[in-house]
Amino acid sequence: MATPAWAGWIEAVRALKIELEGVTTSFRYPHILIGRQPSYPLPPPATIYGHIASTLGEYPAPDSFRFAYSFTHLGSVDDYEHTWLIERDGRKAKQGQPEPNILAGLSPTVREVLFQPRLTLYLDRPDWYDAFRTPVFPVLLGRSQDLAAYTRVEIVDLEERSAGYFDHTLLSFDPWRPRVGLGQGLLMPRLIDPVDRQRVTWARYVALNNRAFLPLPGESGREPQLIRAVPQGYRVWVDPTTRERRGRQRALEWLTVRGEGEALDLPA
Amino acid sequence: MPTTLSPPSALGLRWTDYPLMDAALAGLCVFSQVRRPEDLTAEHLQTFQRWAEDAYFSPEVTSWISVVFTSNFINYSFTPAKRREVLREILGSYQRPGLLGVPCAIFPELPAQQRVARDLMPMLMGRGPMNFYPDGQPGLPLSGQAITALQGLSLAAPLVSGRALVLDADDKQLLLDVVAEWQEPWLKRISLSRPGDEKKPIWAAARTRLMEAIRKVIEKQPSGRGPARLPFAGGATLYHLTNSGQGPDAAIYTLEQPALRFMELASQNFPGAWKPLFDSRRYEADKTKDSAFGFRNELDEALFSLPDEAPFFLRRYLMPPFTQALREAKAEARKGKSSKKTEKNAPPVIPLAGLWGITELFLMEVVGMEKARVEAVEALGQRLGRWIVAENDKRLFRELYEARGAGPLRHVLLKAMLEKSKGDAKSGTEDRDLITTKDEYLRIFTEAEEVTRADFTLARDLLKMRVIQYLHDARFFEENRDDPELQNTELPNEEGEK
Repeated sequence: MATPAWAGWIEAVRALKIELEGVTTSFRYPHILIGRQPSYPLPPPATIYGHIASTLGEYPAPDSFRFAYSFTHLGSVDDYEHTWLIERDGRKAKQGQPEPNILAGLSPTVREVLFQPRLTLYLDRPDWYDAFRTPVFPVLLGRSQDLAAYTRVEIVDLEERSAGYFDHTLLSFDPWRPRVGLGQGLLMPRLIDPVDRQRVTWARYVALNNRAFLPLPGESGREPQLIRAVPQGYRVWVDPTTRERRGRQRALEWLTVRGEGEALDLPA
Repeated sequence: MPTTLSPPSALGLRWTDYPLMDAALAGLCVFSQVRRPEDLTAEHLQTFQRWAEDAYFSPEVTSWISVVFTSNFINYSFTPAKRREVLREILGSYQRPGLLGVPCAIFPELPAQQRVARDLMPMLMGRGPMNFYPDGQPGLPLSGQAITALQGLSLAAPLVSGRALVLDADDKQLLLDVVAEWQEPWLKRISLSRPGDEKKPIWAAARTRLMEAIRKVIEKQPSGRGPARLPFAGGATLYHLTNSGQGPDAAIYTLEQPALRFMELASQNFPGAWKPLFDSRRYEADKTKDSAFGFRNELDEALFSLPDEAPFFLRRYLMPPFTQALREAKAEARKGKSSKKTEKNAPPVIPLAGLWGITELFLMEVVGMEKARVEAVEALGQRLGRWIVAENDKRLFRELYEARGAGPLRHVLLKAMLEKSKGDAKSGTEDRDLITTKDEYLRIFTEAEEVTRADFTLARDLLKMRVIQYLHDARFFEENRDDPELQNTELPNEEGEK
């Protein structure tokens, strides 16, 4: 079993916090390519990696950062769009004509679109503050037409607490699935190797579309929102600038896009 | 919970977490009577191959293939010998080496054999288009093992309403158990399918089919299991897919564990109320659908919208029996004019006390309402009910019942408070309890910042349900059945409701 992303998180308490707003977004399932293209409910780590790269202007090393986020939207709707399907044109050239290259055909596609996305992204790289203040490429989230904007970029000092709440976020399947009643188990692309794009690392997550509360000392109960137990040694870092709910503030689940992990952690 | 990846077997099969592949592997495991894909051997695949070489040409599986794999070998333009040869080639892919020079996209530890399109892996594009693939290379590189294993979908993903029903469960044990529930009748259906037969009634209602299977899985668990414990962790996602050339489509339904726990606890703890409530939402299959696998239960299907749609669920499924109590009083008043038809069409009687228990369970298990808040609603409902009965205040009940927004509701509560306080002062009674207090109101209807709670409608409807239950138990409606004020009382529609 791979070392969990949070295991090495000890001293870094300063984090970069970015708030993003958009009009629409969609995170398609990579292997559902025809007919209706549903959207993941939350952005996969590979999407976050691409997003960061577009802001920095280059792909950072996959193991050079950790991230946490909270993502909400107002609702989803199926939109109708045209996809140009491109194929190699295998026909022979006619006399005097240029060599055929590609063929493109229009294909109507239904795509699930999430309306008014809001992303609060945390990075353990406060030194990227300037980059997020002046992104290299246009700010997008999701498809190339899903323009977005950073509404706030700031550095926050995280605080270690005994409890907090996970807020519309991804949790690592292991160790959280047996402990969290809410949420959908989902396989998501974690890293698409920018050099060899055929190499994709996948991992399973709990996509939490609600809030789940880490228990306060001595707290127990049957509520679905209450996380049943916290993994041994888990340190709860909260953003002290967030809204207090049930005596707790937003806790961050740090994730990575590193190539190793449960998805490829196979014995030789 | 076997969710993490395990070492490959000689065949190289293991759980992958890819919904289609894991469902297919579960189909093969159940068919081969093994509990893990790692235990699948070449002999198991050969047995499957022998079954498939016969079954794939039955009308039942031919239809299934056209929906799931679009494989053209089932076309009658091929000779029967050619069709069998193509099928043998697909099923025997695992026996050929992977020489493509890239890893398999699903089992990256295995070399890929070929780049596949939608005829070998559902929901990919056709063989030509290069969009959405890296480096413009059409197709997904898969190993021979993956290509053969995907055919296991024929053992795991029955056709329901013309689409394949693919389950992705967080707990692989649940996946195996549900596939086992589906596989037996599915294989029986296939074995009875003969060329020239009339079209059989179809299976329908995807979400109901999953809930039915889960209930059977739970029933088979050894007794002694704790009442609040399900025999599996996490939830499930249902992929209802068609890869058909006629119109591919994908619907995804999520079943979260709180909804499952609610269903299980409601049926265990309140069977007297749960059964009639559940049965009242069952719609029998028409003649085009299979009687055992074609009926639909609306309540089952609504569980997939939880917890997000909890206020809607409460209003649509748990509240109507309470309002029915009021309707019954009206019907009673009109009895002279009413015909037998009214009685015949009346919904089954659901005991309100048990239903309030189910409602409380729903609040605790699905909504996650704090116990103190549930108790506050209960207490306020009781006090209001008692006051309405004591004063025979039909107008107050009507105003409460018809109140939609926070303002009108507050007005009703304030009015009741004032009336009771004045009454108490006049009578000099010792019972000088207020109908409600500021703290209680804030606890039920507002959050810390004293803004109206996002789930205001839920709290409001709960209060109405509790008051109606009290009035029903006190025979208030029966005693006032001739009252015109009560006759004209109607529940207001929510915005967007018809």
